[in-house]
Amino acid sequence: MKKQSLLAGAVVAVAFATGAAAQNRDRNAYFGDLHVHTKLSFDAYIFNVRATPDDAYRYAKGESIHHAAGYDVRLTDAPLDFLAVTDHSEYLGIIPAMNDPKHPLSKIPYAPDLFSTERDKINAAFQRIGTSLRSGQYLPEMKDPDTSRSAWRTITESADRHYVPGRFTTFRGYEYTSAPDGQNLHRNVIFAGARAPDLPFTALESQNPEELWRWMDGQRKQGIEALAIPHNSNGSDGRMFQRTQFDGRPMDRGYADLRMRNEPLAEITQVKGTSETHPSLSPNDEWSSFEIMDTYIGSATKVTRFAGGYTRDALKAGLEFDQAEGFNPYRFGFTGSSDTHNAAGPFEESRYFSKVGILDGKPEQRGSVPPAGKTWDNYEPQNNAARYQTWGASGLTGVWAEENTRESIFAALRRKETFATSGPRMRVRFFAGYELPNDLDNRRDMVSQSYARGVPMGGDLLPKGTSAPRFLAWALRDPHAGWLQRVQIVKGWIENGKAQERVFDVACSDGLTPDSQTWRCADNGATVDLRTCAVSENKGAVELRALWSDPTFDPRQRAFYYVRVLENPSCRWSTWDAIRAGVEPNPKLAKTIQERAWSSPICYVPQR
Amino acid sequence: MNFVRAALREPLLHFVLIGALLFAVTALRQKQVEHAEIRISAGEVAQLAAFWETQAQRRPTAAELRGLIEERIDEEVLAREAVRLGLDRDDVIVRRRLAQKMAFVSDDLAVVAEPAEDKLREYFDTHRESYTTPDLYALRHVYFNPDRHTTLDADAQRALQRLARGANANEVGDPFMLPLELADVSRDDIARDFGSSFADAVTGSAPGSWSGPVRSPFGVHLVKLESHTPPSTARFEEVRDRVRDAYLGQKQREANAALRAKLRQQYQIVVETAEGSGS
Repeated sequence: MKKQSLLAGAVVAVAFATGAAAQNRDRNAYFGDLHVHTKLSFDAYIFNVRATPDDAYRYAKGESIHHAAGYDVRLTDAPLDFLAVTDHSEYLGIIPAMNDPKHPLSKIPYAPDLFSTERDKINAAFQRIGTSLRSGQYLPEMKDPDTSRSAWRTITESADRHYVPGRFTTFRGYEYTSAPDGQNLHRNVIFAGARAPDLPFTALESQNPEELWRWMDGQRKQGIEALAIPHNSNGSDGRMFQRTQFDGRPMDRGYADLRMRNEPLAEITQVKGTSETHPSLSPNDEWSSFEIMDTYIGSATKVTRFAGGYTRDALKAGLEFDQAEGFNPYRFGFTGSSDTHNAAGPFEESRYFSKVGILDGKPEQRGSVPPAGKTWDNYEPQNNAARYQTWGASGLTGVWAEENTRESIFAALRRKETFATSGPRMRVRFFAGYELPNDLDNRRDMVSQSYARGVPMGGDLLPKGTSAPRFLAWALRDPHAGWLQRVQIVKGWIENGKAQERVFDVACSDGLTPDSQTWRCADNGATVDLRTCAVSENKGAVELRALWSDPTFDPRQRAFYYVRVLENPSCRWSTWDAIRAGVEPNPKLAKTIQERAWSSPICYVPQR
Repeated sequence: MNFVRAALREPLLHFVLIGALLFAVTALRQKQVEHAEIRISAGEVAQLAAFWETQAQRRPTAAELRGLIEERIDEEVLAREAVRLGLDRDDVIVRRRLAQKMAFVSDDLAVVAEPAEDKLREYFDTHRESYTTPDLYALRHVYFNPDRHTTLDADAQRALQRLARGANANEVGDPFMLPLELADVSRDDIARDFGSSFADAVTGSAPGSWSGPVRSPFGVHLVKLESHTPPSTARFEEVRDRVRDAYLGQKQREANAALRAKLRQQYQIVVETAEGSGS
């Protein structure tokens, strides 16, 4: 949120031009949320949310706004740098119109049932529309393009009004809500500039995302640039990153190009769980069980297929396609966002307020505190509360961009120079190159050297004979959150036609070094006092960095590398809720978590 | 005479006269019309059919549609009778729904007119602080990472002496991921990335020379305030749209509150507390 000019190298002229942000060639980290719902989303309105797109932007800028459960919410330590309101395009603005007695839509007989403050009625109303989305069939009485067009105008005008170039960036955007048979294929569509179509393309036009991408191609031909970001692959039951086209036909180059042209990024973390990987997919990754949501979206149906539902697995599938077929539909970067339906993302564990209005706005509703008169001995959260207790205070998108403008940030999204965090604002840099100097990690011109001689996160590294690249991984703590414990590089590669994975610790806190065989840091001994959530004051690092060479590098093997940064353990939101209520934390839930960040991958792409 | 003329201009009198007239007309009409009308419009019939279709996945037959209309008429008759007998009273759901509807209607009654330009200027004058930039600073700093120095403060002190003797700041301190040079930032901008105590120390330091060490959540820094720009208020023309939005927002809230207050005046409101009744 500041106009920065970074001094890199020897001589830099600094322009103190008022009103115009100086461009930083070494790029600044900006943090934002690309997944925010307001009352214009059918479900948010049913959850009693009345916050508007204007409210969402006000919250992002640091103002306090009203929560449906009756309290105010505010970002306490730092506002966001950018935000996109992304309401569901299906039935956009229809539900608020049904609640307006003067609007013809209010005459629909079941209209009053949608505006209840009783939870069973809210659930029934939500399911009525959920059924339509699972089938892809319009409820014809609720189809009203004029009303939706007017709501879309409210959204785009609000985005444009709140854009302050150099200080706060907004994007026009929406959510394409495809969920065939409940398998989640949701995407957010983010437009580059102040031009957008008259109405969004919705999942009620087609549940097939390929149709969405073709529509986006058509928009691009008219000069309207956009990209789509899939999310909650964890709730797709293996379908988001499946190994066939939507209709089951085999993948081909045309599909891969269509997908990558429109979908360069994937949302890896949000309130409804983290989709990096799953313990069953990554049994040798001790940190793979982080904030796992194991159900479908909006129902208690259990996910049974994890392959195809997690990003690391998809990156590996992409390597195999590339090796066998010469195309890769899954060479994407990472974002994180909240998916809040309160117009306000809950990014801090200690101030969590969850996601769905009056359904989970109080601890008793989200499984962190037993209802009055009950204890954990005679109460276990059921139904909705059982799902909400698995949700988390996540996440944010970080981008490396020259300045805080639509052009600069959208370009960063496009080239995948992005990272995701589980909420805290740790900063992560990641470069790879053959010419990175030996002393790079101690040079003050580390960043400009890295750009000059390497590729940043999100980039492709081409082979150079049989040379092995060096990697610079660098992380800085969030000044308002915990200390860093370790920096890891997650590698995926092809061996004998099959994708493999391995996690390397490359930098450890507290003077420790990674073991040369296991590539693990020893435990740094950081602890959490579960009575107060106080953490060890003298453990962990402010920053960690490493110049690393891959001991297993084989110039013939295609591979990807991404950075994962881990904080010391800290209290999960459910533990904070319990402490405030003066009860024991829910024994079924993790009491602490390790907040983290993930860089977009760098891909090593040998010739076939 | 003056009194009469004033009374004729009094809106309340108009209100009373119109009310009396309406009452008279309604009373007459009620005598003439013995049966109130129940009209199911073509639009409503179409909606009934559409709703039925979503449930059954096909269009209703003519007979089915007749059945739907009959049901709708029954519903209307029963509802009107229920209201006539007062069954809607003491029903929480009915009351809540009516209150919601009235809130909608009243928000509309309190529509605020497009404000005159001088009103906007007046609002701008009384809310100048909202259109004033904060104190803005430009600064440089160098950074010392506590994990890389066993004698952190002493190292920083030595570097401060070097800087005081004119050493190049680019050759002092450790590499740092955040910018070492900031321009056009407020105290809050600094606090956001470097913490509050660092922001206070920097903005409180004398411009033009290096000072420190100053602590932050990252370690210690030496700082030099390059410049300080005092607050400045935007010209009205630059922020007119923002002023208009804020003005209309405030007037709408005031109008809504006034309407509710006026409605309340028509009632004597008594709230009984546990200790006894009070108003």
